[in-house]
Amino acid sequence: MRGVTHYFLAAALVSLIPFVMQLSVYEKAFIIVVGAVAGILPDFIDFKIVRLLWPIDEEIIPEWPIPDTKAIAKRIADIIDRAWNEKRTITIQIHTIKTGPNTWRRWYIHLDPDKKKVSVIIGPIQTFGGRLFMSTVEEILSEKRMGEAYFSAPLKYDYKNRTIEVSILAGPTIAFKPSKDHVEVVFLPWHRYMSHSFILMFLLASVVFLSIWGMGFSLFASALYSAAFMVGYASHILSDHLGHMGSNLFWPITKSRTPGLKLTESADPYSNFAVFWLSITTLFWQMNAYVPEPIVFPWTLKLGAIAISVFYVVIIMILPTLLILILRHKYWRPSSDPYLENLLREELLQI
Amino acid sequence: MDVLIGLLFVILGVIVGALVSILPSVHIYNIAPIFILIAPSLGIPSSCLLFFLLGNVIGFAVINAISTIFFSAPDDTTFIVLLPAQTMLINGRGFEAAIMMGAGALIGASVLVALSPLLVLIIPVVLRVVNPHLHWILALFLFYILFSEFPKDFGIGKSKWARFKAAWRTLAAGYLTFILASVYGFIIMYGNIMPVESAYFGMLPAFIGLFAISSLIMNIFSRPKVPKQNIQRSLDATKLDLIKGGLAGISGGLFAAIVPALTGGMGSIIAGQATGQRDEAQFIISIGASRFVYYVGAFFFLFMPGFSIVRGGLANIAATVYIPQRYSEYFVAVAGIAIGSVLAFGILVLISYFLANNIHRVRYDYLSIAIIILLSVIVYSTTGLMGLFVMVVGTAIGLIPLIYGSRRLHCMAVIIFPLMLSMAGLADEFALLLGLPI
Amino acid sequence: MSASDNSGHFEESQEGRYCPSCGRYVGHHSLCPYCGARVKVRVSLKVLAIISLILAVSGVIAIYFAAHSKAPTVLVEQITPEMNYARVRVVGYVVSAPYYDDISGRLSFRIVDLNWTYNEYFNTSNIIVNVYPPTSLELIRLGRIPVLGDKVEVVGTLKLRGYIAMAINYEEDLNILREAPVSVSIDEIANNWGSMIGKSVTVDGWVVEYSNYSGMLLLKIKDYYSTTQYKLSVYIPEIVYKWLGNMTDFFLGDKIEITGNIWEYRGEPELVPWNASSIVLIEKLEIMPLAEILANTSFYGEANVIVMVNVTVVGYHPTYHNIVYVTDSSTASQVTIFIDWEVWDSLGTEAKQKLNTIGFNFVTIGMCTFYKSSFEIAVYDPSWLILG
Repeated sequence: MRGVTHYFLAAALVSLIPFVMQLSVYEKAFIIVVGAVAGILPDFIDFKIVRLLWPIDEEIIPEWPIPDTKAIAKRIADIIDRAWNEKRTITIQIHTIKTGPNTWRRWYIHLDPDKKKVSVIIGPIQTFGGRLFMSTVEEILSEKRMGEAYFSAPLKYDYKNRTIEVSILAGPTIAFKPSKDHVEVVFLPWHRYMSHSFILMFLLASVVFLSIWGMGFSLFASALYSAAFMVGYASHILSDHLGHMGSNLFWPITKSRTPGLKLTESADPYSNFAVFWLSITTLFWQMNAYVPEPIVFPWTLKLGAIAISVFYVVIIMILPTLLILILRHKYWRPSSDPYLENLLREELLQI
Repeated sequence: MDVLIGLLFVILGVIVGALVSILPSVHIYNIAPIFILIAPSLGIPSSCLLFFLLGNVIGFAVINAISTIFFSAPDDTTFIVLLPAQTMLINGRGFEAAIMMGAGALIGASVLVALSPLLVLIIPVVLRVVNPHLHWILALFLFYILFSEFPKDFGIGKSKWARFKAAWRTLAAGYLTFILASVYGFIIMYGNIMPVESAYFGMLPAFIGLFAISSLIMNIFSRPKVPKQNIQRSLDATKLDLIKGGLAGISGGLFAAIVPALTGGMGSIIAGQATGQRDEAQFIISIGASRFVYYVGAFFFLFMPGFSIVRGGLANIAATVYIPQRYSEYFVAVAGIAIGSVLAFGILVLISYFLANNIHRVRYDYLSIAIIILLSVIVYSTTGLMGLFVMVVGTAIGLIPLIYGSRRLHCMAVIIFPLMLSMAGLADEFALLLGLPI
Repeated sequence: MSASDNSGHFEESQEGRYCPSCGRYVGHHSLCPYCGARVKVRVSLKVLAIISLILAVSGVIAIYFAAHSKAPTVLVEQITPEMNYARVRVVGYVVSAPYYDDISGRLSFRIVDLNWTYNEYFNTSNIIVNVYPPTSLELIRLGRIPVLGDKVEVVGTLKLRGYIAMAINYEEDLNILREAPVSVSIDEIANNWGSMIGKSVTVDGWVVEYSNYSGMLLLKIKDYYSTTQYKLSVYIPEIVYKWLGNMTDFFLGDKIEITGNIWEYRGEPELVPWNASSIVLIEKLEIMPLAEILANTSFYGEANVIVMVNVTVVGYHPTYHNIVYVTDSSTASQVTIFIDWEVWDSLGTEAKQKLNTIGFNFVTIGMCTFYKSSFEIAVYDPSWLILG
């Protein structure tokens, strides 16, 4: 999910913790903010710390302006074989091709475990926002646009998309990790390796607890802040686990990512917005419950101490969400790349 | 008050606001108090003055695009669109960029007008819910701005520490900007450093320094060559882009209108990220829509009969003169927004057309120097030497993100941070921490 | 290279087209390779022109609503806590004398709706109406202040606390709905006042009681020639004589005509004048010769007519010195003037001596009456005696 979605989802869930809203209103507490920050902290740790300190064994720096695709493909194939033969994980950093202040030339690495082939394709120049300048492909001779190389090691590549797109800013990191019977391709090995761990969550929550307590707050308030932190952090971990990549949930006890449940795509704007909407409406409901003059929504049912408005849940929360999901079903398609599809027609058909 | 007279004042206000807004970085919040002061001597009734101010803010919300796009002199809401707008200008598409922002404004106006019967029911109750929670809502946005910035490194470095340094260069610059802007804004608001006579213009030097002068200084050094501009008959956008950009902008603008200290641009960023917006056309349209809904919407709340909702700097000042209470005034305001925005858009097209045909003749660095001098004169005449000093400090802070490539949005801490502390009741503690008298 | 003509049009030919954004030749590309803009699928400026047109028409429609918008009319019983800050219209009666604080400028009064409905939530049938400056000052200047019993139409903003209050923000939001007054006699009022509550009337009579209290003037007027001899209460609140015009100078015994509302106070009718100008002096009490009074003592005495006489002391009661015998140049007869005991006690020694001095001449107002079948003129207030 997008960072903003994680952030507001965490805030919404934290608002449901008992006493949080009362403290926010009457004691001017910032518990919800702590929870929301915890909601984006795992990715903050990954993208701003772990990624930068992750050990890199080799770097693939494509020549500028047009790289030698065959040479790159051969190098990657060699690395795969070396990982298998030497029985060690080799992590490579793949770099982008910057062509201007706000432009990069896109390129791709396609790994085919069945044919044991690496294909490297050079694509068009694009802007930061993803706008492609297709004519820039024509600057490249057609025979130079794609290079292939073969490897002999058994490769396991479990991602549904076997093509790695290298476009803007810093390129991806890939680890080739040998096991008993294959070399596994680990995309972004540093991502969700340690940050998306429940154990780390508890450790950080303890730090929060001690910090708040050390500032002179009561044990109860400190515990509440700590609980908010954990709820926010856990919401990120669990929602990420709905995707494909999965997370290393119990680092440092476990060493690799547990595959995700493959229920969602993180780039899907409709799903993101649906979660965002539900989060905002939940937050608003909670805010309303603790103001001096709350809005009284119609069709309110009392379930013990909890009051729920059927009107609010159905008309304001569920119906717009359903509408978003219907629009998603009607309009959203994963972004396609006609240029790539044209070059890798056969391979993509096989998949 | 005759309804047509009210509408006439709106139209007059649009024309005056538009003319004033062409001047780079001149903010209508700083000019409007002058109108308020001279109105009684001109015999303008208070109710008509408010319609005039509404016209001013409509004109400003639409026409200020000129300043951002053609003069690279953004304000606190448009600095985020500066890069794509400048890119378009360099590609001869300045006119198109201005019209895109204007299109966003038109969409924002359309939705405001269409929703006006509902807004009068919804906004007061939403405010009733939001007001007790403002302190943490502001903090929520502030920390999102802080934590959501991504490092703009390229993964290149001889060692991991070299990579870390390269990436954290921009991030650290961003956090430094945030800290400096927070303290800077707090001192201006609570440190009584500005002359009492300039109370109306309190934050003017800060905003001009942070956003406008810093951009202009970069222009002088980068010396962009603005080519001859084209006049486009269509926009590089689809109808879906108009809708998506417009909706993202409107939701961001409405949210910013409700929550104090947040600007339309910030609301638009959050809304854009929530809706997965990446396209530059959508982004520019959304900024146009969010600006309009933020500035005009915030002032429009004042017209909601019986509620006296004061949001935004202009409404705060105007409410000391007159607060409308009648439904007739509300509908005149709605009519004013509708007709005024169309008029402002027409003025935008005309001015953009003129500038597109002539901007290539202007030396950009000289133009930037002239604008810096003009702004300095404005700051000095309204706030004196102390204001100039504040402006210089703001410029220095505003240059940090430009030089290091970090987010300029951190500069908004200048107003959000002090306001957040004030709402949480922590302003005095922080003032003590800084050694400021309380 | 740009192939645009001076007007900025871009041409398409069989060889391809030019980018509509940057003007460069792009052939058959759908995206401009130079500026990245879409070449074919774009929004025409005509779309914006259509949006502008729709918006302008919407503006005109909004103006129509502006000209015809009215706040909704509510009854007291219909007001709920959710209506706080709502702008509403109430039509009803003023049930309290308006109070004007000239320091704060606040004007306030209470109203009920036409049906006198009761609000169960707020436990009241009253709405407190407040008017603040500058609106209150403007209303004072225009003389548009309602008085007790007036039918009014009030448009204002509800302010609900534990009670119902309403703030008026514009002078045109307070309309006093007065009918043309009907001329009635005091007898008619005495007999039918129940059906006259809230009605506008004009009535005349002689002032037979006059009391000046802080914040109000209370009179009783009477028609000497009426069958009922009924004394009608007149309540003149301070706001009327202090802020609503210049009140004519009248006193006890004067005949005045009052235009105002019939209202009810403690089970009795009272007349509340609209403003100071609605009290007209018809006949000022003048000095009357004793002969005229003596010629018709039965009328004067039974009607308790208030008279003013210029008399000379010819004697006084040997025991009760407050009973003075007087005459004037019009008659040889003498008339008894009875000075009330409290009035007598309040007089100074010098005054008492004068009144007991044969030949002393003075003017006095008094009420004609019979005491044990004897005619006398009674003085019930020290201010009635003008001793010189």
